[in-house]
Amino acid sequence: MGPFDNLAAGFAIAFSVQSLSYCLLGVTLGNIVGVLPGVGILSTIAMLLPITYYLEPTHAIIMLAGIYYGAAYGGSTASILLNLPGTSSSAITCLDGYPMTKQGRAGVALLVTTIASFVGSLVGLVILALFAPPLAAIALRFSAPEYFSLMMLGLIAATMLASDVPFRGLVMVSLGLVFGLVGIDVNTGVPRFTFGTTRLLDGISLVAVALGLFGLPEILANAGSRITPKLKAKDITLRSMLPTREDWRRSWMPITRGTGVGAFFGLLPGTGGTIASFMAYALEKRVAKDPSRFGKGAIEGIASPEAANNSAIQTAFVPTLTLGIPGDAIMALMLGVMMVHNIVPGPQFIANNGAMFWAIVVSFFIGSVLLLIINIPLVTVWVRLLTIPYRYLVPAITVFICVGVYSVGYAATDLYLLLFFGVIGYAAMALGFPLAPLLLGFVLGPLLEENLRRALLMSRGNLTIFLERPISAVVIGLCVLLVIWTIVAKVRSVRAAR
Amino acid sequence: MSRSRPNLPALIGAGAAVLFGLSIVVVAGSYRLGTLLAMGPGFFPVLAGIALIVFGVCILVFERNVAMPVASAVPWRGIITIGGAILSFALLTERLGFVPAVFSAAFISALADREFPLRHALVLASALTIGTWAIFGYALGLQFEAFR
Repeated sequence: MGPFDNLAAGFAIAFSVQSLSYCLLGVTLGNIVGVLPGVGILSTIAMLLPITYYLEPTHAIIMLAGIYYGAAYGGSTASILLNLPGTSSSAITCLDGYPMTKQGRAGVALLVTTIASFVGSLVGLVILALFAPPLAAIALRFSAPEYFSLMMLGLIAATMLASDVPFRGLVMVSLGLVFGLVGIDVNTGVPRFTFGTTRLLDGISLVAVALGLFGLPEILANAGSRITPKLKAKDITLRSMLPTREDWRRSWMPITRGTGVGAFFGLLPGTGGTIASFMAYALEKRVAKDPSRFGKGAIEGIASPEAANNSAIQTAFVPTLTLGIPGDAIMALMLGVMMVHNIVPGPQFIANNGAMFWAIVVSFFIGSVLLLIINIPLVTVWVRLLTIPYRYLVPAITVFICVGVYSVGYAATDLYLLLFFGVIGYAAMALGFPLAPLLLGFVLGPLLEENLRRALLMSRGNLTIFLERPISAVVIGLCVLLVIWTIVAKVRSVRAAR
Repeated sequence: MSRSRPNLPALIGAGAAVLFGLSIVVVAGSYRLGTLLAMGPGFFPVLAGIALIVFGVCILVFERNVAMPVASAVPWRGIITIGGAILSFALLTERLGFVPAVFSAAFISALADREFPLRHALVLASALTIGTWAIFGYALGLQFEAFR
């Protein structure tokens, strides 16, 4: 089986009618979801999870991933036109995108962000294609201790890097761990935290947690709100979208820089598109000859972040697919999807499912091209979408959530769990606790326990195995450094505030 | 700047974490803990519970004074209608079937918007019922009992 056989097989799968349809469906849906503020990527993916259980795993991932990067394309539309981010990774695009709209340059802004997104995606997926297989080959030598340490690093990085309230994040991770452990312990057959009911023996449904935690508070926050764009659809013609030569000259370096920043943060477990876009913007401002232009419609301020968040999304698949370490909550969901289909992401994935891996990579490319085609002429359609009053969406979303959650196990218990996690999600948000770490802990909890158990078995109960094995020791060292650095930074900022 | 007042959300959150962690340790402690070599079912949960307690305390130590996002008014209408919609689905789907459950969920959640005319809500609910039946029941082939 030569090295190119899998690539060829992957191409064939990606270009099959079914894959193409799911890709198109995913990116279109993702684009719409990204355009609409108030409908989140995570909720959409979680809502479609039950449907994907009936699909081929390759198609499931193609579609869900399409939603993910499609939303990154669409998110900038609402940011630019309405000053309301469609997705969190597009939030920073509001700063310079909306002023451009006010200056009558909305069309240019939309086109430039689309192109920036395309370039970012392309480079990101090239990195994915180039780096993932060798990384997986190295990771084949990993075993339980390395997995455990890497997962710990991923969890710690995700909670401590991504927010300024790291300990709240760690509390949420621990909470997620506990919820993840509900059910029968596979190793001993003892039911844990089931309190006598039989419904919980299989554990808590991932869909119920994801939708309850993210989807419900989102609808709640947005129900009853009204958004009206000041722009008419006909104001944006194809001609008005053409940027000037000056615009191109100013954009290409930011796009390059943004792509680089995004690729870096995407590869790092624990960080993703949102941080990448913020960092890219900060970098542009620092590098610019005239930083005062930022915030007033500087094209660099939208080109760079958009390139960054798209490249981050593509490269985020590297640690997920090769190591099984999800970088953020959405990747955790993807991991969940794969596990449901009995595909174990990790170094074995590329070795055992080479064709599937390449099919996914190729379909990312197809999806990016599709998005480029969709976004340029269809911008007017998206603008019109923004005028749908949210009140029509609320019942639709509620019904989809109910049916989706129920269809997984045909158990009303799942719906009650959905409500339970909705309460937790709402309470957490009100108290200022981040939600994503809980989902990460929930997905990784059972895996952490499994690897800990195996590692200790390998070492006959000796904890030093984590430090004896070099890779594991390095990773643990990174964890410790990260924790210390975060604490030091906190202490410094507390002192500075006094 | 004088000493800032303790942050109520932080206190509540940290307190809840510690309390919950304690209860987890207690419940999980009743499962066999085992040894490091042969981890019992209670081992990892106890660790998680301890983590909760430790991090809860850390919040109090390190993040007591973090400025919190401004709390907006609690959306009671939204909570009652959408929560009620989901509850109605849960109760109706096993007793009366899929169609009544979807219709009721759609209709009740439409009430979340104060200014939604009732007639429009009824139409939307009907359309949604037909739509979800078409998508989930027909196109995807999921087995639902339309009416019990």
